[in-house]
Amino acid sequence: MHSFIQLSIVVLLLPLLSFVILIFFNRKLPRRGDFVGVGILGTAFAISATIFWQVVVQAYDPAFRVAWDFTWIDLGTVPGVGPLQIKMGIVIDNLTSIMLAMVTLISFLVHLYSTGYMKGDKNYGRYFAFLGIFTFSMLGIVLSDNLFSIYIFWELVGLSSYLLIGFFFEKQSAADAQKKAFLANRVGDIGMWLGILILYSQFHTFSFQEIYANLAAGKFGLSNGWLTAAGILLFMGCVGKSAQFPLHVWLPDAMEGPTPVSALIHAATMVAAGVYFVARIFIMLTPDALHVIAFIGACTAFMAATIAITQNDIKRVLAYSTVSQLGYMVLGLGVGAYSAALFHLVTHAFFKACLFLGSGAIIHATHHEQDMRWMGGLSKKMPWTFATFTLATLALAGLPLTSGFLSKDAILAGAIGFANVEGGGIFYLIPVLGFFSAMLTAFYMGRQIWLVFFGENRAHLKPADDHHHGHDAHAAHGGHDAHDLHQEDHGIHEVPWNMRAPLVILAALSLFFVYSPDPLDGARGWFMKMIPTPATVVGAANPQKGALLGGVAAPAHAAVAATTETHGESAAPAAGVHGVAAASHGEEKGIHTYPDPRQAEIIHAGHAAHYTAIYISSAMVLLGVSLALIVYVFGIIDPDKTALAIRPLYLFSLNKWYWDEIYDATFIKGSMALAKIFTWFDINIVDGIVNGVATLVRKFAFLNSGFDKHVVDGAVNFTAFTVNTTGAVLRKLQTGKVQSYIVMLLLAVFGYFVFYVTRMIH
Amino acid sequence: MDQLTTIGLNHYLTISALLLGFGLFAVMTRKNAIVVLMGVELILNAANINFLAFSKFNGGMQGVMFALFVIVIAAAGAAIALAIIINIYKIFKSVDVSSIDSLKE
Amino acid sequence: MSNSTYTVIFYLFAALTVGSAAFVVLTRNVIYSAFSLLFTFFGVAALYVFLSADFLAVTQVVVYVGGILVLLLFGVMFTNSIMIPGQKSEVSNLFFGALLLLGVTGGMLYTFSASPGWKISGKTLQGSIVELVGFETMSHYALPFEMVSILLLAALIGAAFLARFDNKGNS
Repeated sequence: MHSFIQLSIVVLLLPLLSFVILIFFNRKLPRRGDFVGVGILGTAFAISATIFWQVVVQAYDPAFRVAWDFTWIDLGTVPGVGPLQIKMGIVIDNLTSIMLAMVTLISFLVHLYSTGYMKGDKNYGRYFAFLGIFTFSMLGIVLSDNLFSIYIFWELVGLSSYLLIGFFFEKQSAADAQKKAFLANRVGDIGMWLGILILYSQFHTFSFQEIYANLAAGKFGLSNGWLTAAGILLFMGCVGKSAQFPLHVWLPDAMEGPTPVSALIHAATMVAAGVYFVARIFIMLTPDALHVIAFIGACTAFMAATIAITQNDIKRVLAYSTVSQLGYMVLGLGVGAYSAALFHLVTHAFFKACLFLGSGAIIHATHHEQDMRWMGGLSKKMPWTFATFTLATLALAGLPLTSGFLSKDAILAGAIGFANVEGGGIFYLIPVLGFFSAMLTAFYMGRQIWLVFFGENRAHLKPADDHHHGHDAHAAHGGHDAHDLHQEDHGIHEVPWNMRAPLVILAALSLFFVYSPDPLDGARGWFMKMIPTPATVVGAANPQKGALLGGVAAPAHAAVAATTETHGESAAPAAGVHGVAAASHGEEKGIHTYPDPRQAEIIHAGHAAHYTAIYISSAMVLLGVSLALIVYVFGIIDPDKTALAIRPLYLFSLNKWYWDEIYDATFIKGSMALAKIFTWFDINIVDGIVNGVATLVRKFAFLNSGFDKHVVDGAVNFTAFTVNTTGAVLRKLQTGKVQSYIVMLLLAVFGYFVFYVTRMIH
Repeated sequence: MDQLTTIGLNHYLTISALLLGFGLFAVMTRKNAIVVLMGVELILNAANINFLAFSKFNGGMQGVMFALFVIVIAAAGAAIALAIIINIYKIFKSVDVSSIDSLKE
Repeated sequence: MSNSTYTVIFYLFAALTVGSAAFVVLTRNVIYSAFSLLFTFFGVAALYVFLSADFLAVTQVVVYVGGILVLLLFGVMFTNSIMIPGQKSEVSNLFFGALLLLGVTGGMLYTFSASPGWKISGKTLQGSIVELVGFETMSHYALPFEMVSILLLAALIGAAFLARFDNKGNS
């Protein structure tokens, strides 16, 4: 076993250890055992960082891959199918090692932060236990090399998110939110499981490598439509977990959980799982499936952005911005900008974690005030939080010099390239929605910064009866009395070091130089070089497919090996076959090695559109920022009057496009009506049948009892009578006297003796 | 006459048989539990004589050893039996074995 | 010791043994029975000496006469009012008892006389066997010896437990 595998198993099991220790012993440990969670996650991060360093920095090989598996369940040879076995395994490549480091780092920082934020909660120890199992589940998804174990950990993520979202389960809203999250995820997971089954029915394996090898060898027995369906069904899992339209409704409600948990869910663990999973199955997605994914991503990005601009709850704005950014990632994957999407996943994880932890710091400092309308002027009181929050906001908005700019720009460039290649008018909708969302992002984040940090403190303006209005997510927590304290602002102060340090670290990771030396081009950074777009194994309408892939023993390996050199400076020549000539661009010295011309064209067009994207997106971002400035800083446009002027649109956004109401009217009411019909059916028909059967049985029992009383009992009584009589006779022999027994015994012996002797004589 | 003057195995066996017979008779007929116990001891002695006689005329030690163990076990048995008899006496105020027939019902 | 003296002494002891055994059984007085049993045990011990089992003879005297007989006497004294002279013990099953006594004894004696005789080994036990008993006990019969000692211990404890006077009454 490779040492990386061993280390990764240790990393995987450490959070589980934390969970086991804390769930059972937290009351026996000092400080309710929080140091156990923090220490274990710190260790896990240290080991993950070692793996990251050795894999990404030292090996510096895009095709790096270490895998290990073992047979978990051997079903033997099944008649009609052949040998069946379920394998479990671990794969470590660049993506895995990056995700490993990211997840453990953010989880560690969240643990550390929570020691301050959750201090005094009555379930403090259990909270850390849940964080541990959440991290464990996510690491399991990241390390899995097959669909089956991914599915197992996928459900574990669902379970742990359920536990954490409903952590303040005494509150009705939290309990509802956790159910909503769980059910929405179930819907997605059913699709995902069906997708897994389609693939399993064809290849009898869950392993990614084997599935891709079989696909590339053209062994998929069904039509291409089924393959598309399998891809879309698998993507449904991502729709649920990563809160894509139309299953996004759970994520904003999940804000009922503790704020550090929101950071963990939105940055590292849960929503990242969906995008990561789509990346894992990326090479088996057909162009049709990719189109669906791209459109869903674009819709999600745009819709969430429009909702975010009118929300007042500081966490809800961030929640919708997460949905919007996840839409970007899914859009990126859909348009084939694979590296860019994963790049955005990582950069987003850091700055979004920073934003959530920052909002947690604000909520903590303002004694559980979540409504931005009653904040303001916090920049002087909380300089550290202000600085880090602003930096992360710039990254989220996508301003140059930040990490968010690099990744978002790469996605948008890919979208333009995609639209150019596909050529259809409808496909231009995707980049247009993307750019528009970028503008909205800049606008609502500018609004948030302004409302929270600048101007006068407006806490005293808060209506007295307003704190039961959805803004008391933490009223049940900590035993503080929010009702009295928010009237005065003298209670607001900077958070302690253990909450400040994660903010600083995460803010630092939101700067461009961590990822790329060029503040304008992420493709020149290590990340996009290490995560090249893999070649698809389903390249439909590719005349060269057979020739190209037939000659390679393990096509899935080839898929990784057949990498691209994104921009000119990369000197390392890619191993693999020479692909399509479509990509010979003047300024590129590298060799394009795509077996699939469509993919190659998209990548190439994406590079070509790079500067276009920069110009447009910068313009849009600046537009958004200036709009925010105009509205909220200079007051040239009064937001309230504008809202009145476009009241239908405003309400449409404020009420989140009425998705909850639509679902309530359709699915929930529909389920209820269906349940009523079933109840009627149950009472009148099923019960009727049951009662009829019962009547019959009673009649039969009546007959039976007659037979029993007369025939069976008669026989039994007769037997008893016989035994009784015999006993009465034999009883005379039982005198109870020892000596008569001896006499009888000796008589018997003597009789035998006589018998024996007479026989001997004869 | 020679048979009578040369002491052989049969002489011992005859004594043994007579002791056994008397022992059995005591066990069967006497009502006093103590005398029954004496009968048992007679039977055991008869057996011991048999063991030792066969051992003597066979030249081995098996019979001797067996007789030794029989004596030990007889002692243990006598102790237990007497304890039981005393208990019976305490309960029934009698050692008449024919009146102790509560096993009957 | 001449052969005839030997024979005479044997018959004396044989008669003592059988006669006292018969008296044990036939007398109705329990005390007489007990004292007559003393002579039976002595006679049997003497017969053991004739059978070259000197160690066994001594053991017989020590255990039976010194132990069991004393126990029996205690039993008699505990359970009978010996101060009433001439107390008799009852007899039952006299007919069957006599029949069986005669039948069993007669049958056995008949078998001895009728059977063609025993195949007597050329080598018989001679002299003292004390040393042999010691060797055998510690070699071949070590396990039975240990078991018997544990049994004896258990029996003694059990006897003491059964026979003790319980003030609370154990009916």
